[in-house]
Amino acid sequence: MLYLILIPLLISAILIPLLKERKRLSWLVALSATLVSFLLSIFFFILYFNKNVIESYNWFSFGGLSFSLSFIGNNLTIFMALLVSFISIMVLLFAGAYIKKEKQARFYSEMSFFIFSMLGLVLSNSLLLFFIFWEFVGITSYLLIGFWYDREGPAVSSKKALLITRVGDLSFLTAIIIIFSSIKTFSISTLLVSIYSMPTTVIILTGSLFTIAALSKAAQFPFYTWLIDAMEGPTPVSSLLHSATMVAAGAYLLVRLLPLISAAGLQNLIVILGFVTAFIGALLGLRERHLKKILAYSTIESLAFMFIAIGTLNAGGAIFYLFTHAVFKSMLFVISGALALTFGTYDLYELSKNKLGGIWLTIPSFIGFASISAIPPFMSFFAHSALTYNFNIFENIAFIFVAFLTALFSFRAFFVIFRIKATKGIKKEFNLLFPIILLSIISTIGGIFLFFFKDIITIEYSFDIFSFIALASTLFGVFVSYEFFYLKKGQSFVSKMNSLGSKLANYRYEKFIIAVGNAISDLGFYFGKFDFMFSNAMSRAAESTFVLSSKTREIENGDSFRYITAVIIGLTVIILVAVVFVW
Amino acid sequence: MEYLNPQYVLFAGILAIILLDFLRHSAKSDKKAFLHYLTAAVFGLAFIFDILYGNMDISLFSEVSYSQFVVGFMLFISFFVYLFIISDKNDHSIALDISYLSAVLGSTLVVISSNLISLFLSIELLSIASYALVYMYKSGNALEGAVKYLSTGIISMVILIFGISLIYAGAGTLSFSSLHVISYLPFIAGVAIVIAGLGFKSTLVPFHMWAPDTYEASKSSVTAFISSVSKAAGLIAMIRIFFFALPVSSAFVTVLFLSIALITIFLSAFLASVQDRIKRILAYSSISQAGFAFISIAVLTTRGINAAIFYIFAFAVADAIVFLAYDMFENKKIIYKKQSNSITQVSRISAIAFFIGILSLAGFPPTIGFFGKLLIFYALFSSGYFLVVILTFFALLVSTFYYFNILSEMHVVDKIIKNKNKIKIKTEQRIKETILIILTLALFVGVIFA
Amino acid sequence: MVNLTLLLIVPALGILLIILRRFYEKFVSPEIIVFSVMVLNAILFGLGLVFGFGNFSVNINSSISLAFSLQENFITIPFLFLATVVPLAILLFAVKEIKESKDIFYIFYLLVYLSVISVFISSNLLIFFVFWEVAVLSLFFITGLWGDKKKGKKAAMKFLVFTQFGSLTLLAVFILLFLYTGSFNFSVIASKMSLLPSYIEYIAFFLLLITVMIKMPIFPLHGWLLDSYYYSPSSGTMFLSSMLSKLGGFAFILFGFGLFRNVLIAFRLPLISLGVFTAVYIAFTASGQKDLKKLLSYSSMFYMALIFIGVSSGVNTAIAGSILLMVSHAFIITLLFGVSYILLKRTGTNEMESMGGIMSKMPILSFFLVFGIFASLGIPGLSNFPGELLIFIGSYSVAGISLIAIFGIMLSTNYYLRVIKQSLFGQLKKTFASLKDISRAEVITMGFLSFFILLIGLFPSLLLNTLGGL
Repeated sequence: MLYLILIPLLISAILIPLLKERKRLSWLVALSATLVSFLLSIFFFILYFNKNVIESYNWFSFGGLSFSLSFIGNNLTIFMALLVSFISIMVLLFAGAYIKKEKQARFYSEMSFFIFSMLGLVLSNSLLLFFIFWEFVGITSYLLIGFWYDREGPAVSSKKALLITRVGDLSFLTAIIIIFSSIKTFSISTLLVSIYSMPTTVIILTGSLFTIAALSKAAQFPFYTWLIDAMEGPTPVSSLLHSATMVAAGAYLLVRLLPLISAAGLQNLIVILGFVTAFIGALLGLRERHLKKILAYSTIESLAFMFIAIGTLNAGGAIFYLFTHAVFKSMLFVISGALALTFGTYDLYELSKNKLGGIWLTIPSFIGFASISAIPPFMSFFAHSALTYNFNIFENIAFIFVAFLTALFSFRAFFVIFRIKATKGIKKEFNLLFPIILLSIISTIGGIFLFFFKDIITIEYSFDIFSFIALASTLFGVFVSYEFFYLKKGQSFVSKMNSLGSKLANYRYEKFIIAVGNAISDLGFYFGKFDFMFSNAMSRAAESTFVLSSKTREIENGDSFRYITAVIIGLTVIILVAVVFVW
Repeated sequence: MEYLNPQYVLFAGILAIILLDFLRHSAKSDKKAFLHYLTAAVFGLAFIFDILYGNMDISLFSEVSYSQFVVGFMLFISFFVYLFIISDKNDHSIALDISYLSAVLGSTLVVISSNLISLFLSIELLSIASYALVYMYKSGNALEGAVKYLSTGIISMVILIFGISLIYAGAGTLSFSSLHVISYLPFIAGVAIVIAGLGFKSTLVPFHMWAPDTYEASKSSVTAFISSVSKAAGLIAMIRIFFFALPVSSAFVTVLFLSIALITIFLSAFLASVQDRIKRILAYSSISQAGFAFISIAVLTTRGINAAIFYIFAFAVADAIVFLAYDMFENKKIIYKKQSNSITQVSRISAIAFFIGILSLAGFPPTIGFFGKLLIFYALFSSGYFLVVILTFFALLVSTFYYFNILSEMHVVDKIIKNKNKIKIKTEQRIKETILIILTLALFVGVIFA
Repeated sequence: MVNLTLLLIVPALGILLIILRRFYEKFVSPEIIVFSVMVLNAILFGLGLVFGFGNFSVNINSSISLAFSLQENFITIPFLFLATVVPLAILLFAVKEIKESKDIFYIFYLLVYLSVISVFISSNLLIFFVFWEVAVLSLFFITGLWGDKKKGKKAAMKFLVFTQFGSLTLLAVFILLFLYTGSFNFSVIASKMSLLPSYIEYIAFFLLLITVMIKMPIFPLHGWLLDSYYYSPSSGTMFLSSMLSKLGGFAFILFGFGLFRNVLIAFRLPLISLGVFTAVYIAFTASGQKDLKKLLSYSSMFYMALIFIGVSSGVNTAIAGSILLMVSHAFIITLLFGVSYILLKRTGTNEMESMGGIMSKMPILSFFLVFGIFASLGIPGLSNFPGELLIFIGSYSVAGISLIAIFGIMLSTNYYLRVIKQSLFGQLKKTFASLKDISRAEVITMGFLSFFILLIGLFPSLLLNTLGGL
């Protein structure tokens, strides 16, 4: 009966476009549907606690193959459902302030559909169902990024986002086809128990394909570029899809398939890619002026942390960090949205002109940025201790550097925007303040969850020497950030670092992507030309028979002499052939 | 009862008409129309007798399995073509009736000839009557056409009789039943020469060149007869000689025949596609039809011969329709295929008949043209000539092209569609349209004879 | 019991009614006749699904085994469904577009309709062939007479000559079968296939392959595709892409799989490779198109390549998938060509670069375009997905190479998203300021198509359950 969790949102997705009133009603419908789902999730969480319930439905079957869709209810999946519906409620509350009046009858419908899909995704047990929802979140993300379709930015970036994530979608599809051919079922639980009966090539191939899928969805290197551009979408969308839930689906997929990944021996690769992404995210975040894009880089980096944890076979750590990240990142996005609502810009330096501050703004922001940097006593500090549990020495050392960079670039935004002598704050609307406050409270005291979390999901944590070195490095990062960006010291160094960052990764990489894109469309153009010529060659071949025909016409011009010649030649040939054949 | 055969009826008819015409002149009465009706009645009677009693069976002529069918369709087509001719307002002379009847008699005799000399004589009878028919309409360059026809006809006759004499020199007999193949050089040469001689009549390349000129010069309704019944007779003669009389070692005949047939099909297809005048296109198309029939003859199996006979029937009907319909176009001065403006003046029925006739010639189902080709391919396949079939396909594609090119250039279908003009339709045209309808129906019903 | 002849008699009566329309010209327009004929037929089909179909047979000429016999075969139902339902939607575009010589146009329309249905239910191969050709000829005339004024005739001729070659090779296959089994009846032939020497089987299979490759079309025999699709009237294009190309797939399954299964299986690897090559090639080609209708034409061929892969694999799962994809593609491509036609009429162009921002003026149309594109992209829940899934699962089990075609789907994502971006998204061009959204009739038609796209996508078993005989 787990599908009950999904039903309210599906209804709301279908119902909303039919509504006449577009001001509050559609919002209310979506919100209440999510609320119902949340309550249902709680109900099922209690009902299925410490159980492993698989509910299977046959979609269609043919020739002895059954294409079944199945949900699974266990601690992990229902916890994820709880998380998704909770964050969704928060973001929808915020959306009520952000989008006062829907001009297009689709925002809440698509949001509902997204939440529906995301809930479905976390609850799926069948890879087929997982893929279905995976595709659904992909296209809703596309539609929502392109919500302001009439601007050039969203139009381009929505296309880019779907294109890049579709690489992953199709590798996912390929992987499930291969798996189905091998074990004749889509069920993840069956897959995980029968891994060792599968041929090694299949394991490695599908493991890699799933990894590609996860990397592209989670905007990891080399697919990360789409997420930055996706910030063109409305801020609630960025908050829900592009930080808290959808992008985390990539990590979630790998968590679910962790035995397959480890059997395929991809852990180290994932760790390496994770660190590469983390460094890139931090470095690029450092030179960004756009607040939402800074948050996007931080999202990329946080997701990279989850991947690193997955790569070190630490599923619990990854999931706990996912939870933590969802809470504080959605809050930061809500704040950025609130800022944009009040001041109409996301640009750091434009915002800084306003001398921002105030208790409602500064404290939650500080909590958010401190959470990014994992400063105690905030929740993410505890999450980091779980995250790094399986790290070896190299990973720990690399992580210390990452911690420094993270603190540096995240606090940059904080120090640039906020001033002690503040003159302005944000609008004090319930819809804005409630999510901000609730989420920041969780971010602050949520750390204690870690100690209970093992009752839900196996998780291990330790506060060892590296945790404290990392913390020191973080604090150093905060200090440097304060020096550079609040006190504005060493600006030449900052600008050098910016240009270095640009040169280091983004510029060349972007160029490469653009070059590939251009190459494909150029190639398409030449293919088109070739095909045109090719089809015409056929016609030309036909037309050449007419040249032949005109030649033959010259033979026949009604001239009696030729006529007689032809007859004589024909007669002679016939007689000769006859005679030669018979003799 | 044994004299109730179509040939006797035709012969008696010819005599009766000559006699009555003589009486008419002496009685100074003008009852030409009566004689025309009589001629028509002769056809009808001959047709009925053909169905009821079969054909003449005396020493030089003997009935064979297919003769009833062949003579039947010859009479059928000739009858309607004749009706079409006389429904024109022109003042037809009685010579028309006589020569037309003679030509038909000649063709039916070809079918049942069982001796080379009777075959030769039948063809001669057909030819001479045909020259007269072509010449009879002194429209345009009929004279030139008739002369060309006559001269090539004479050449072909000379060649044919020369070949026959060589065969006689070798075999010592002309009767089909006692002829047999002997390895004697003059005999072989004779056989080859006979192929050439009959090639004229059946318009096979390279003996086809007279056909477009003659077809174009003569009136289309007469062309309808020449290109269907007369050509059918030529092809039937081929069958008589090479399948029944001289079961020659097949390698030689087959290779030779197949090459002639393929050359005919391809050359005529190419030539047809570059013509501007509709009638020349139709003439070349008629040549290519003969080529198809000849391919099937070349296989020299019962299956092939049956296919050939059905195909001859199919294209004879279609050719007759096309030329008769074109006759109605020609009356509106439509000569070139790009003259799309005049097409609006022709009647809708003739356009439809022309259209279906072309479909049948191009071998589109469900017309008998398709079933004819089906049987030919079947015969070729059962003898294993796969390559020939593939080659034929290419020729068919070219012919599909030019057939549909006429249709679209002439805007025939547009005509069928846009029947805006309300021309007052005369009785004469009504008759013609009825004839076309009946023949067109035959294109669909004919499949039962396959 | 619904006799299969009824499905032919009704449209035949419709044709007759249109021919005789001059006696009652003022009362009924040909569109209404066509519409009621098709609705009636759809109802008959529905009744048939419930109560079963009755066979019919009349001998015409037993010496060439010509009999007018109609019978269900193992794959009929989905195709019959497609042939009875899709033309209902095509009618609307015909009504919008065809203004002159309507009577004759609708005669051809019903002829295509009738002959496609007949092909799907004829059990005598000669009758099959007759209707096969009638469909070709009718579309030849539709393209030539109602298509593009300048190039329509030439395009029609190209179409005719190409497909005629395919028809001839198909005829050759039939004759070869007749030669060795002595019958043109499908079930008789199927029971006597052991009489064919193996080399004849090979020859016949390759002749059939030519037919299929021209009809679907598959590289390198697709030369006719672009001109015919582009210069046809939109209803002609819809017929070509939704029905005629399916005839190729139908013949491939019925004969290639039904009769020459051994040869098919022996050659599956090169055939699948050819299909994969076509898919990738055509996806690249489509990527380079700037004109919406051209792009859709090529993309239509892309799906035919997937279908070709599915059938070539000779695995029943993949073949079921191909059938599903054929049905689904018929609906989707009709929807997409419909959108392209409406855009052409409203904006005066099909060049995507000169459109832009259409979505703000035509949200409903944009919805249908996006819907159609998502369906094309194989988004689950819409009709292409189950078909593609089955094709890939089936063909992967015999040839891993087939998965390369997924790369083609990637490319098609690229060009489809370009369509959305260039035509719908972006700033509205000033010239389009007075655009109006689609009319109610258009909404109903497109909604009708979308309904089936959704229905097949959600409940593929509705069609799959009829394919038990595979």
